[in-house]
Amino acid sequence: MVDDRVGGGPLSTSKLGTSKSGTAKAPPKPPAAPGQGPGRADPLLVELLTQHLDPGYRAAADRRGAEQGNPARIRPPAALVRRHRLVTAVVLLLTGILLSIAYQQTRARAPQAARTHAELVSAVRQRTADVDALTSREQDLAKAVEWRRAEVLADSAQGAATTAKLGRLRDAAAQSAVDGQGMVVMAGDAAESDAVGGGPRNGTHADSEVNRVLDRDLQQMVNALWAGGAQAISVGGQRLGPTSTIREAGSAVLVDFRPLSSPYRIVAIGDPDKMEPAFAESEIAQSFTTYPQLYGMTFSTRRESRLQVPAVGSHTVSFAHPLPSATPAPAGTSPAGGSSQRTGSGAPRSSPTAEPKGPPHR
Amino acid sequence: MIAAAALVIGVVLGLLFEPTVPQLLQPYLPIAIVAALDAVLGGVRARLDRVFDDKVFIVSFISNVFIAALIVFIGDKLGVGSQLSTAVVVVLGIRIFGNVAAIRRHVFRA
Repeated sequence: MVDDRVGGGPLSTSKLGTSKSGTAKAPPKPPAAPGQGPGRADPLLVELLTQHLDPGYRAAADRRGAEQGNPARIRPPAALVRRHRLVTAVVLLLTGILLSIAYQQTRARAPQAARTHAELVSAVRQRTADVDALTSREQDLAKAVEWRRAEVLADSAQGAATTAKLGRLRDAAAQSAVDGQGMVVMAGDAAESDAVGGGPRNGTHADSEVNRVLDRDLQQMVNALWAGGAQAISVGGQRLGPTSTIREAGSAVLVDFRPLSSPYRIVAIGDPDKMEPAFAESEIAQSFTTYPQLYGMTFSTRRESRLQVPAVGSHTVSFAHPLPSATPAPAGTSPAGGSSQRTGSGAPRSSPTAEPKGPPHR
Repeated sequence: MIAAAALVIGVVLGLLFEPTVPQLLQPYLPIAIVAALDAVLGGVRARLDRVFDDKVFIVSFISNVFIAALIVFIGDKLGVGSQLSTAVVVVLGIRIFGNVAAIRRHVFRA
């Protein structure tokens, strides 16, 4: 076989026949030297790296040249050309179809990951919206219930006392919105790894474990504020009640199982004259004042005169028992009996509402 | 030129009609593509070398595609499918590169 590479190459040595492509050659001769001496390159590899053209072409050309008695003339006879040309065209047509099929298949498969991601994101958003809608409906219903209860209890002294006690319990359980003066603490992560994907966290950067505000930090800040005399605290818009939690899952901070993103805004309602110095002296505040310089995190506190914190977002009924009442009531429409337990706290209440006068009728 | 036109028409037809490959042949599609590319580029280079022969082109095309798919198929049955597939792709890729380099030398005289 004739080597038909032109010019230099990794394996072309002076021993190989340097036939310039296009010119006719004498009948094919075996390649010289490589592989035939000790220490020479393996003929398989030599062939792989130099013989790229199908040797059939050269052989056919030489055969045609020899047949026609003129080695220089290497074009095929015109008679056969047309038929073969047609088949060649068909073959190329098929190749084109094959290429486009492969392209379409690849294009259909490639964004699968991106599509799954987008679907998950939209599903999460949808569910979050559903939850929000249900929560607001629940809050509306709760208000309606309270109104009815107040209505029912208003017409007796015992009822009024019950209402007052209920109000105190609800305030203690953080189930009423509070406003007043207080202070705001803002703490944020170092702004270096939020580039990819956006959103609160996507957990792809393992090295974003450092220079982040942890759940411990928020817990300590909140405790310092409580110790300083705060009466109502919310973190990231989530009110902290007696059973609220500040936790971490993966790389996201969750308050009452709702994820929050940096920077975290802690609103504490209370007397700022007491809270500010007490907070500033706390360990966590003193550590955090050094963090902006050391780690690039953010931390600031300020007092405000008009702050508002919402009620606790979710309160579940843990205990309920029917009223000891003689008058029959339609099942399920006893808002006074049911709501007497809705203090959100896990501790059992021994029927604080001594409401013996019977449930209201609609 | 008819050849180039046929290739382009084939691509357009494929994009228009979006034929589906039978499920059985799906795994061999990529290797068939590489083998087809190698044969086509070999044909182009032969054309520039002025040794092009239709019959050789057709035979080399069909045998390339068929043998490549056969190797991968046997490899799948023997449990070395991915390795053999890699080997086939490497060899065909080397040939493609060599042919493209020769074509480049013809076209740009460089």
